[in-house]
Amino acid sequence: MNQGGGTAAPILELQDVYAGYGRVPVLHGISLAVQPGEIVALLGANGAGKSTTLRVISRLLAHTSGSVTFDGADVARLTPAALVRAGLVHVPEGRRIFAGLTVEENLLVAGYTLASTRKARKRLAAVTDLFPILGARHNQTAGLLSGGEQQQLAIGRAMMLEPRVVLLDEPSLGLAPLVVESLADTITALNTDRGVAILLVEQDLALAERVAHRGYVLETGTIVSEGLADEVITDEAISQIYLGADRGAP
Amino acid sequence: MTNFAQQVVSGVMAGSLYALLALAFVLVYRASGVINFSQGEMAMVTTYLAWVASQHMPYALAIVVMLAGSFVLGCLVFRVVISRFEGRSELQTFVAVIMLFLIFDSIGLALFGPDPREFKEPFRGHPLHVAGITIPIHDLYILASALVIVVGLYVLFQRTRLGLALRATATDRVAAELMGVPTQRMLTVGWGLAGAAGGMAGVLIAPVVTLTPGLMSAVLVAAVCALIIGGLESPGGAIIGGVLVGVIQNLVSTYLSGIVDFLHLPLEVTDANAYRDIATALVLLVVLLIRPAGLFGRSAVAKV
Repeated sequence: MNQGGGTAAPILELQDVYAGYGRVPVLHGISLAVQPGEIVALLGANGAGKSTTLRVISRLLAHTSGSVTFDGADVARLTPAALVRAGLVHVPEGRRIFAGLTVEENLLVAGYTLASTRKARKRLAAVTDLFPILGARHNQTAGLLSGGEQQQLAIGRAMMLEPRVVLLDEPSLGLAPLVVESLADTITALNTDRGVAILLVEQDLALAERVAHRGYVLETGTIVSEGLADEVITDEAISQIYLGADRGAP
Repeated sequence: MTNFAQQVVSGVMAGSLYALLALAFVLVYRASGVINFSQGEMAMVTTYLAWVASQHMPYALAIVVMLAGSFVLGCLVFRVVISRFEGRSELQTFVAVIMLFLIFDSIGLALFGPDPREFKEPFRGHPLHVAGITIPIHDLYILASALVIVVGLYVLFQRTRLGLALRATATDRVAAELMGVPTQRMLTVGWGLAGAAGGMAGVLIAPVVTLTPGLMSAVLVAAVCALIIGGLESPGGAIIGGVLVGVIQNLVSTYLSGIVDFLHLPLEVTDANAYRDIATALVLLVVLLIRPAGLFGRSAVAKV
């Protein structure tokens, strides 16, 4: 990893980003960077602005000032769909699979962005190699999958787009502990085997610590600490995130 | 009994027209959550387009011109007006739709006047007689056209990449956008397809009732009824709803005097059509009261 002023340019960079909903400001000058091939955790309490940060990056929400660059290009000029085609994919909170469509149709929606059906089929085969359960259930209505399978579908759907950066918003939400274990393996595999850089928003700090290289802690729209994952995810940080900022260390 | 069968068959024919317009409503509703009450008036305008075109070219070509024109009109209505109301309240969007209704209604009147125009039946010939039931050639044409459109839309939605992207957008617009689907374009296409389906209904009914700016008023009421019966989001429901309304209407106007006699109602049956529309409206009210989500719908009719 390139720590602290390495030579590689970040693939994703936010500089002094402000954003909010209507007249309610949520982010107050966020700066963060993700290097190619890196897993970065974005941690914080509910309402700290984690999902808002992801929504700004993927252009679901326009920022009011500051800059967001992906691969050196300003994202403000792109539509969310264009950004996806450029290689940045956002797996939203709650997974948001297309419940009424079959598993295979869910995956092939991504095929709309590809030039040919053959290319889409090839990627479909690659994704079902990665997640065999999706191949086995290809004809099943996606809404009938278990939570863990739906999470695999949500990540598999993103992988159909062969992204360079994936934004993962609370992937462990609502999953059984055993399923979270395999989710951690999946995230690590995406990163090491496919070289995907990941910005991970997660409440499950054990999961975040296990997979992430670096981390940022967000508190009411401001980044309050950053560093290597095991430095950021300390007892102090945990109490801050779960008990609120003002209590300080236990 | 033969008369009963005859009325049911004729009702199915009329019902397939209602089904087409109701299908247009479903396409728009599923794409953007709007009930486009101006759909019928848009179809009226494009039916005049077909009528003008048919003076200069063969009928089939005039239909192609009409389909293209009504697709484009649907796209424009969404792009120029409806998309700007995104995120606004349902009441504001509803008012916008009603204003569109008035605008298209006035355009028809301004350009072509109130006088009825004769829109000739494209196929003429002796009616078919099957088991004592008479089926006019134009009715067969209506049924066949409706079937072609329904099957064509089904194939488009279920068997093509565009159709999959349209369905994904209708299911969850944000998730579709995050998968790289240009959802704004998908909504536009949905409105365009609805315009074409509605336009076809206009061209099919015109030879039956003659072409006036009020062409679609009766069809509109019946189609909205079919839409509510079928549930706002179900294409199959819209089709079955349309056929049901057609059959109910025909049976009511046929047996009206019998019903009035049977109930000893102090009514004089002079205009069966008026009673037919009352019957349609009553069916609609009863369905709304008993099953507000429609017979095939999942969501309640909260948007009306």
